[in-house]
Amino acid sequence: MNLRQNKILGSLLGGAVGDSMGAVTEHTSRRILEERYGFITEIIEPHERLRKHGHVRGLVTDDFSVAYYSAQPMIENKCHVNFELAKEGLLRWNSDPRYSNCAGPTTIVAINKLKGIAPPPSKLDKVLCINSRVTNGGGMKSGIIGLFNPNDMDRTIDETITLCSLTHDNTLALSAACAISAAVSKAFADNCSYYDLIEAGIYGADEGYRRSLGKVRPVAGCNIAKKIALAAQIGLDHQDDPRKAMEEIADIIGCGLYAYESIPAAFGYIAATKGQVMDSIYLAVNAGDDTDTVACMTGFITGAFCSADMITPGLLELIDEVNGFDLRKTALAIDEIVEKGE
Amino acid sequence: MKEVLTDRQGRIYGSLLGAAVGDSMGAISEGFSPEFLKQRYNGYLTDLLQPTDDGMTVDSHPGMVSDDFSVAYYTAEVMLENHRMMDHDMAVKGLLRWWEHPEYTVYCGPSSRNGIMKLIDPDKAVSHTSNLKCLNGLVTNGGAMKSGIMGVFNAGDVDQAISDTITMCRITHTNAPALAAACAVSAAAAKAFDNDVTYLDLINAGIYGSEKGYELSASFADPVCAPDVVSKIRWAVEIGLSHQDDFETTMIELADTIGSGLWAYEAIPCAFGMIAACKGDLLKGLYMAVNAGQDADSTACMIGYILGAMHGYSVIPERFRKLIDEANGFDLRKMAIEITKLQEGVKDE
Repeated sequence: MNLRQNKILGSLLGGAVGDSMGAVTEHTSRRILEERYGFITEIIEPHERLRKHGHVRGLVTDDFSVAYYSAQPMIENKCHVNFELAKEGLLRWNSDPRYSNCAGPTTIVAINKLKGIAPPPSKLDKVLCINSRVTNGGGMKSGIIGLFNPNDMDRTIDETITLCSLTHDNTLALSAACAISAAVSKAFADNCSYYDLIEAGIYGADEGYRRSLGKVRPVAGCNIAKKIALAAQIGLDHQDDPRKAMEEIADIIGCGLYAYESIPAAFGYIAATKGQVMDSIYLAVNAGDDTDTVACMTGFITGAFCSADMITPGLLELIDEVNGFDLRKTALAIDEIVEKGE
Repeated sequence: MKEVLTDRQGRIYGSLLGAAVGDSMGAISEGFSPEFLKQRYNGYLTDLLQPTDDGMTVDSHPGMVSDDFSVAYYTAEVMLENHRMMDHDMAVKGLLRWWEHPEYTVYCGPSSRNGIMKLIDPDKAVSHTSNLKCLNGLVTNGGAMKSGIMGVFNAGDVDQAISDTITMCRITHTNAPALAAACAVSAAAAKAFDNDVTYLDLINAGIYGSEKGYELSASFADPVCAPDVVSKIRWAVEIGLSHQDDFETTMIELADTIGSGLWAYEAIPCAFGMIAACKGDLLKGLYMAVNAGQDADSTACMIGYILGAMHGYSVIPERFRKLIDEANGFDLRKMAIEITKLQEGVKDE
């Protein structure tokens, strides 16, 4: 594999490892996690409640799988995303119950709409700003778009809006999604530093907001770009003690379902660990709350930054086997589309 | 002729009115972003207008409050009827009295609904039906939206206000951050009745209240993951203090970074940031919360309790006072007098 291929694979694997490692810790507070597991640095065995739902060690959840399935129609057609391919990827993902059972609230509504199932009448029907849909489900899948557009943030941002507005048709969720994909794209630049990843995230958030304003629903919530900057500042302040950074990020930025929490948090972990892939994933996992999503997004970015060589040996085989993926083949297929150019 | 209000009565009336005006004005802007509101109202919203039909209100009209103030109002009503300070029985009865008013319960948030369902129909309580260990969706500001009333009933007694807040709010809000946030508001409201109190004293009382709230709820609180209310109050106050002379900048900065949404770790820290930004000026504080959007009615309601108690009713325009009573069928002046009588009666017993 050449460097670019290795970086694409690193990103896919980083996302998948983060998701699968964070699946076990999701919804739990960092204090409970610490009591129960200490500081987690591997994919641990799922607890009973997850096992009952069919979860096994190494299985990814909705986060990485929706990105993976979204890429398939693009790979088959050897082209970049468009509305039809985005729709096809989403519906194909939805037909795999292993993953679609854990779909978030915003994604469920969108899929039902695509299938022609009208939502039950709600008091929100007349409401202009549905702020409860400012979720991180755009960010969890948008990293994949950065891989199709290495070191081309502007095209990445436009294509992210195409992919994600299908499910997350509001300005802030799209701003957050563009922050993640822009940083993934930037990770392919020559001499890219981890500072550049953070700046790319801020650029993506600002541009994603600007380009989607007026085209999708307006909403109210925190400013993604400003919160990325704050989270990164906390991370930079505690580089000598990344776990301290993790605690402060959890206390002040938050790492929950909402786009203005988990996306900024991911950049905070990148800053705290200087972009190191496994270390950044560990922080995202041990911080608690929406850990699978935050770790997945973090892994997408730092995996591309560091390349697959820096990911713990053995994890690629585990992820591929448990999920029935072939991430190496996927990486090469994406690289072929990049190489072809358009 | 109306009897002249004492200083204490005037401040209690101010606190009730401040909260009601904040709730009612904030109900118009709830859910929207500050940028959107500025465009829609061609500047700042500073009046009790007819709510638009694309917001969060349902069949509302100018001056009508929402769930925020009304749940405290009906709890106060039950306490006054029974001539009793807060206890578990009063908290339950107050909540159920409120539940009889669909014009307000239509706004009921997830945790309050859960608390009420536990009382009347446990099969519908999410805390009974969910298999998740941490119900992070219940870390909401609905304890803090009503807890200001405990500052009013315990005017000047911060510790009793905190203790009564836990009693009142733990029925609906069973996690530590939601209770800490509730205690921050009631502690600051109770403190606001001191003579010569400054806005910095109110902020310190809020921080003290939130720390105590965590401490007192530790033994029974449900585990959740959420940002830390104390840290976020400190951070919000720092933002407020850094831009005191620039209303627009502080408002946007607080909305953008702290957030003024449904969550206990947003609206409550944001309220304290705004108190700092406006140096404790009641109307400025209310307008900032209203125009910051998101959960504007809750944020403004909390600020109203605290700063209304500090300044008394006279800083609130008379037409607002009239409109609130008329629109909701309240008599807040009378309620203020009755609350002082209950306080004096309790002291004598």
